[in-house]
Formats: sequence, structure tokens, C-alpha cells
Amino acid sequence: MNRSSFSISGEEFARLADYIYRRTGIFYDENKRYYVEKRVFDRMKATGHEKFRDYFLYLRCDASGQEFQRLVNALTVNETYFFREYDQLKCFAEEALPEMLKGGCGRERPLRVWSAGCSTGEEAYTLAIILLEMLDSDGFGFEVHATDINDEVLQQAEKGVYEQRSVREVPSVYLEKYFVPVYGKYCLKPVVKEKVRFYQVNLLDRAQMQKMRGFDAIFCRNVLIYFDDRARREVALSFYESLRPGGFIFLGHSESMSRIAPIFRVRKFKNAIIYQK
Amino acid sequence: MGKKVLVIDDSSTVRSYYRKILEANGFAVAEAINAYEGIEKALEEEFDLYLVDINMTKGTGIDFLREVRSNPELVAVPAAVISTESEEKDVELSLSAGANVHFIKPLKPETLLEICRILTGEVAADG
Amino acid sequence: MEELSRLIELLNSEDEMERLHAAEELGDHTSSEAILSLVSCLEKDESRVVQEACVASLCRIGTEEVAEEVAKLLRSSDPYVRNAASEVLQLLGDRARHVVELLLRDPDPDVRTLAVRVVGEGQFSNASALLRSVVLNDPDANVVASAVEYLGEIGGSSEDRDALHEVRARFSDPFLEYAVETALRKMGE
Repeated sequence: MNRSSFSISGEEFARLADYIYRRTGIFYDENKRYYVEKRVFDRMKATGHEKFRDYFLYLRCDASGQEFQRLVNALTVNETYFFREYDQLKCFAEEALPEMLKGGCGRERPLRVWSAGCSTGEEAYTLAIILLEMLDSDGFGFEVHATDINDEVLQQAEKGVYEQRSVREVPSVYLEKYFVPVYGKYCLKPVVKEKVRFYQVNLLDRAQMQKMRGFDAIFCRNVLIYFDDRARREVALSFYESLRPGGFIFLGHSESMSRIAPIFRVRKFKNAIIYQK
Repeated sequence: MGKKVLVIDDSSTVRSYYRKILEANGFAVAEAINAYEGIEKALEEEFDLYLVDINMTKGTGIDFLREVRSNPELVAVPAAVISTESEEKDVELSLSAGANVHFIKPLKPETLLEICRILTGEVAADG
Repeated sequence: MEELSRLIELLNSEDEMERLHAAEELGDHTSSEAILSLVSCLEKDESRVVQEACVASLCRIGTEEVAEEVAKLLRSSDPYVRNAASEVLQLLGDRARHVVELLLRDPDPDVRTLAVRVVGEGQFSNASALLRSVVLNDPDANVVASAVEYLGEIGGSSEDRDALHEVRARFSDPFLEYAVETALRKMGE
């Protein structure tokens, strides 16, 4: 079997797409057929399946759910960069934030935001930049907590040095204000770096999660997609406990809490639909 | 532009069956797989009718109905429950949660169409 | 032991966060008391988040006893409770197999419909055989329609196809006809 002769029939594709949609909420339409096919082909090769039908049955009936996770991993390449999913950040800054501030945080106590599964830190620093822009001139305080299970990415994140590719979406005024270009790379200024605390947390470790309390907003974008059904529900419950009443949870654009657990309220804002405690 | 119907049912066969019948008769159809996806879609876009299943995981039809009936923007949209439950207590629960009608599956195409036409105001109920 | 009784006691607390915490902690216990108290809390608690914590903990315990106790909730008049219970069975997979086989023969078609979904959505090693038997024998059109849909997805043997063709002889309902057609098409017919 080789890649050029491999293709999935329309019916097979529809069946796979429906299954992925049911499990994750991500819908791949016909336009994505080539994209999905390529990744399915790779997974078939890795698992030694010649026919799509056999692979699909293997995927469907694998009780450990591991193969499904691997396929999802292959389909959802996690490329992270500053100001990713701009509409949601806009919703956070312009709509959710004013509500949180009305509740008194920022004055009586610092606003606390958590980037859960922060990887190399782009999202956490983006949040710090947004909050510096929105709050600091008023003297409001805030903290950005950034956690990941992988301590290598955390070390990388703490350095605060990025390639051009990572900062391509940063508005030019912010790029000038908060970054220093050094030999073709971009170093964050201390004013941003000192606002973010990086540390290691496993989202499935309940003892660790019980220490995460009193957050006004949690960003956990494109992370839960790598967890199975059971783990996702456990993490959602932990997040519920980590949030203050009225706190917001931001998932990735293609993810939906509707596949995870029915415990948050759905809120419609101008720029996005957000789940709230 | 035809009337817009949101189908909330966890069975893809049911969703595509309704879609086929309704689209052939001038309705526009959107789909959701459970209550919360239904709520997300109802908030994103205006619909003329909700067709709601009851038994769904991670948010049942009753959850959907209670949510839309407590939202001033969505409270007036008619909703038909179409579910397998046939006992009186099930019907009462649907109606008390805010359904306009409760029908029992499976539906013949002409019954489905009639429900949709009446509830979207395309024909009068006694017509 | 003391810890266990303390947690069970806390499930009756007035405070939602205390109940939530207790429901989560009980998932680390595997005794009958823990299981029974979680099942009863899932059935009766008024907080959805506490109920969801019971679901998570019951899945974590994941024994056959959980399957047996949770199966009783499929008859609940509260749709959330019966669907949450079916989700637990689904996530237990083969550990719930014996219980699910009994549920597939339950006199109540609503219970059988839920059981078919458990088989279709869950990870059961004999799923196609179970679904085929429903397709061939169940008298209720809705139960059969649901089994037809899942068989179309995970089946494919000539026996599976024959079973689908048989449905046409047993029922003459336009929806069921459509479900059979769709399933056969999924099998590449």
C-alpha cells in the first residue's frame, strides 16, 4: 500500500467523520478529506492495517481508546503562537473582563487567570500582555498562572524567547512595546515576564488540582482534546472547583464543553460563546 | 428563504432522516447532537422551530428546553419533542419543561412535515 | 473505614462544594457502601455538578458491581439520571457486559433503547453480535432502528448484512427503512 494509491471512499469518510464528531465535537467536512486521509494513512501504516475498514474497526473497538487518541493527536497538530484565536481573546478582554472587574477583583484582590496546558508559554504571555493593556494603567492587579505537565516546555517558556513564526500575529504596537529583537529572535521584556508564574501541574492529579483555587478565568485551549472521555470529565470537575463563582472557562475554537460535562452555563457574547461557572 | 429548523438528536440517522424530508419541502435544517451543542447553535443563529429528542448524554432534551425557556431571546421559539418515551409522565415532563408538543418516534414523513408546518406557522393548526 | 463513613456522611452536606468533594473522593474507594452511596447521590442530588462527580467516581471505581447498581438507574423518570447511568455503563465497556446483555432483554423498550446505545457507543468486544441479535429479534421499531444504525457503523460481515435485510421483512416503517438503507450504504452495499 502506498500513499498515492490510498483513498477513503465517500461513505467511509462520512462514517469516520461522524465518529470523530460524536467523540470530540470536531467536524471534518468533505473539504478536509485529503487532510484526514493523509493522517489516517499514517496511522494505518503505524498499526499495520491494509484496509481502511479494518483500521476503523480497530479504532472503534480498541477498549483502551489509545488509537483514537493517537489519531486525534495526528489530526490536531498543536501549533501554538501569540494571540492565537483572536476572537476569543477579544471576547475575554472586551466582554468577560469588564464583568469580572465589576465583581471587585483587580481592586480588592488580584484578578487570577490560569493558562492550563501552557506548553511553551505563548498563551500565558499573550494573556499577560492583554491584561497589562487593559488593567495596569488603572492600578488593578493581576496574576497569570501557567502550568503544564511537561517540565521541559516550562523551562523553555520561562526563557521568554521566541522565533518570528510565534509572534507573527502580535499587533505591531505590542511587538515594539513588549519584545526586544535579538539576533532575529524576540525576547519578552521583564514587565511581561514577571507577571507570569510557570509551574508543573498534571491536570489529572487531584492532589495538585486541589491547590489550584480562586481563578477568575481558565484558558485550556486545545488540551482536553488529547484526553479520553473519562479524563476530560474529571478535569472539567476540577476546573469547576478551581473557578470562583461566575468564573469563565475558555476552550479551543474547535472544542466544546458540550462533549465534556454538563456543569457550566453557556453564555453568548458578541465575539464568542463561553462557558461559565 | 425557508423556515429554519434546529434538530437536536444524538442519532445521526434520525438527524439525516429529518433533514432529507424537511429540506425537500423547503425548510432549512441545522443539527446538534446534545442539549449543550443545541444551546450553542440556538444562541448563534435564529431558528423558527426546535425538534428535540429526550435521551441524550451530556445534556438531555429536558435540559435544552429548560435552558431556552429561561432565555428571553429564545423563549418564544416553538419546540416539538420527538422521542421514544410514550408514558404520560414523560409527556408531562416535556410539556412542563417548555415543549409545545410531544410526539412519539418513529414518525412518518407526512407527520413530521405537518408538525413543522403548523409550529412554524406555515399552516393553521386546524387546516 | 472512618474516612469512608465521613465521606458518605458528607454527601448529605448542605454545602454543594463539600458534597462535590466527597463524591470525588469516594471514587478512590471500591466497597459496596461507596458504590451504593454514589449511585444514590447520582439519583437524588439536586446539583448537576455533584451528580457529574458521582458519574466520574463510579467510572473510576469501574467494577461489575458498579455496572449492576447503575443499571437500576436506567429506569429513572429523570432523563438526566438515566442517561448519565447509561454513560457509566458505556465507559465501563466489557466490565458491564453481563449487565448490558440482560438489559437488552428488558421488557421496557425505553430501557432496551438505552442499552443499545450503550453497546453502540461503548467498547464491547462482542458488540456486533449483540446488535445483530437486537436487529433480528427485538419487537420494537425504535430499539431496532438504533441497533441498525450502530451495526451499520461497526458491523460489515455477511451475517450483519443479512440481519439488516431481515428488518425489512419484519417492519414496514419509513424511518426504519431509511435506517436500514443508510446502514447498508455505510457497509458499502
